[in-house]
Amino acid sequence: MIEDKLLIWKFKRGSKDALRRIYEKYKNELLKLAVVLVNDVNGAEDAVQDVFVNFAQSAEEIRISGNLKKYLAVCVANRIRNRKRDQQRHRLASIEDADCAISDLKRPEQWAILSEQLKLLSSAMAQIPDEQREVIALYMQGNLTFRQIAGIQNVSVNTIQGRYRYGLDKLRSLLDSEVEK
Amino acid sequence: MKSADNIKKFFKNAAIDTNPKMDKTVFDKVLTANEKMIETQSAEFKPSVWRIIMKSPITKLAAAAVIVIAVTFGLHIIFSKSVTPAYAIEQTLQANEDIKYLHFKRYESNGGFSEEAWIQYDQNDNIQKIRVDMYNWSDGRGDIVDVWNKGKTSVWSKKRGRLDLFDCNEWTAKMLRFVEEHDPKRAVGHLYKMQNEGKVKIEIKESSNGEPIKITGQYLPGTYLIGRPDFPAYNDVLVIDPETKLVTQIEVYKAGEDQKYVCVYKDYDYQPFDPNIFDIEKQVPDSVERFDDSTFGLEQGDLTDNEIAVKVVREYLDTWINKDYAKAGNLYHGMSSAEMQKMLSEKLGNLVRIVSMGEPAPYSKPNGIRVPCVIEVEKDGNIEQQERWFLVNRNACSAGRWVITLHGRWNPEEIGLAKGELTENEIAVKVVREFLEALIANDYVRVAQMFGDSSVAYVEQGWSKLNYTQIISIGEPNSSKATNSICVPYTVEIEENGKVKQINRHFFVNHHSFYYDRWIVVGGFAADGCGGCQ
Repeated sequence: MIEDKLLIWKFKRGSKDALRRIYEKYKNELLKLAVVLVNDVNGAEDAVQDVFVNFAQSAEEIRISGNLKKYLAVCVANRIRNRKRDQQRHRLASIEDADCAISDLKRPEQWAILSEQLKLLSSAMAQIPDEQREVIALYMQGNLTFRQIAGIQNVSVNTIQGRYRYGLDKLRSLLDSEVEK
Repeated sequence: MKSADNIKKFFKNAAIDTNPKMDKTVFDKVLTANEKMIETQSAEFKPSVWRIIMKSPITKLAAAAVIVIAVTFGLHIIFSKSVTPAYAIEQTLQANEDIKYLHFKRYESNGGFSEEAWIQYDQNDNIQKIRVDMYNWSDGRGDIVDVWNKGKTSVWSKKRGRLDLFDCNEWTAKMLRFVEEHDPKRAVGHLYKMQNEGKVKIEIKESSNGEPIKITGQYLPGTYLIGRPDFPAYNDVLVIDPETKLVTQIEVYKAGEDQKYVCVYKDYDYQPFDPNIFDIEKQVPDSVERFDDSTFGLEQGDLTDNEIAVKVVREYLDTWINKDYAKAGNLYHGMSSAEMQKMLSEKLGNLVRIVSMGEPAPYSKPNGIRVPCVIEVEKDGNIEQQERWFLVNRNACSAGRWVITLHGRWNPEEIGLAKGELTENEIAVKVVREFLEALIANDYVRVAQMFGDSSVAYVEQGWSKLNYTQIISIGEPNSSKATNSICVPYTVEIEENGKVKQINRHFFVNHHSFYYDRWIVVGGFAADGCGGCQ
């Protein structure tokens, strides 16, 4: 925590080393969060890359009092939600647009390397509703409190706890055979 | 699996690694973005510093100092100019959390200022008090002030000189509905909720160069207003301040091809205001009549719905006969004594006697129990026997009490013509044609029906003197701002003293004041075409 504050302080004063350290420290955590939120490695990589690029451009926006990991986790969740909105908007795009979308998917190399367990977790998470998935991901992986997630989703803490319980039940049944191993 | 701990463990053990080559590629992009930002912000300082250094060797030392200052200052500028990260609605929801006071105004599409609202929240973010001032309502009600204070609503109708007091869920729902749609604190939450329910599409235009963020919400038909499934599709544009993330303006558009602009809510002020604004009793003059909605009508007691409906109508007719207009107003859903006198005595005439009362029966459109009766009315020295019906309902705010909500001569489906899918101009022309044809045929029942709630005797007395014989033409309708209706010019042939001649006249056409889909003739008749319509 103190290290984070020091890193932010240095970063705000132009330290590239601080920026590199923040990147190294959190890239895996954020990628993992993004993967469980979208179940699409390419989409997760894009979201995390965008968050770091925006972060690099907005030194003044970062508040030292804030928790850096949580801040970045919320940025990732926001980015993914906006991306989903865009995808929904463009779902009715013309056939010509669809060709472009396919060509975008061709990538030379993948950034994230997922373990089999993460692939399994991600595909199970994909089967639960968006709101429940976000609660579980931000709570388990982003280390946000229920109150903080309630603030993000603009619902009461009770609702968040309900979403957490329902989501967890579904996730449990989906992963049941795996977690007993 | 027995506990959440196992899932936590699963999360923890679900490892991820990264490709070192791609790690470097991604970080290079991050670094480039960072450097580019610094470069862009500091570029403007370079030339002046360079010129100072080049000017004279003697100033080198001073120049070096200047460089230090400039670089420091440059860095300060660089880091004080923020670049807005990706916006999400949740940021506005979060910014709204600290709001305890709100004041805003509504402007119509013609630029006119029509509404102003004040809202106060308690520490737990619940709405505590609402005041809405509505200016110059076009339906003739003038200025109205609505104040809602923890469940109780006061409505001050300045033009009518009355203050109505309501203590019921229906009014609370109305006031909260207003807030939900137009107070940005709730409007954003509403938009967010509607989006999650798949009832609205959202587009976010991010801020660039300090321009505000814009959220466009496209509501599906029937979802814009709560409890209004008949409402058309609307679009809202929420304008967000990129710094504070607070709403600064809400623009409302009708959806569809023309995206017609409806109104805008703006001049948002989140600062505390004088709490006395909600103390309406202090502001209403003593001369204003007070009405408590819970006292309107008659208690049902042990009577059936039909029995209480008949009882209310009979008492109402008795008050009409006895000219007890205050009691009549109380039974007629709280009309004032003066308004009742105007309606009953001056417009309808004096009730001489009740000839008969028919069987009560449930009625729809509008809902209620309909009680038909035959009465004898004296007006201008003439006595006329009329069939009339009365619609009786439970008082919305006091369900144990029943009131008259409407009465009339004709059934709604007999009044005027249904607009249906026609445009306003099309229905206006159709109404005028039907009215003229009824006049030519001397069908005064139909003339009376096309002329709103008029009696046959009244229209016959007025129109039989003019002997209309043929429609020559019906002109182009146009909107009459003066009468808030549609003016339709026409030319007819009349027979006067054995001579046939053509005359130009016009009628004003509008929807019925209760049955909005029924269109009727509301006035007109001046000579020389449609000059009076402009």
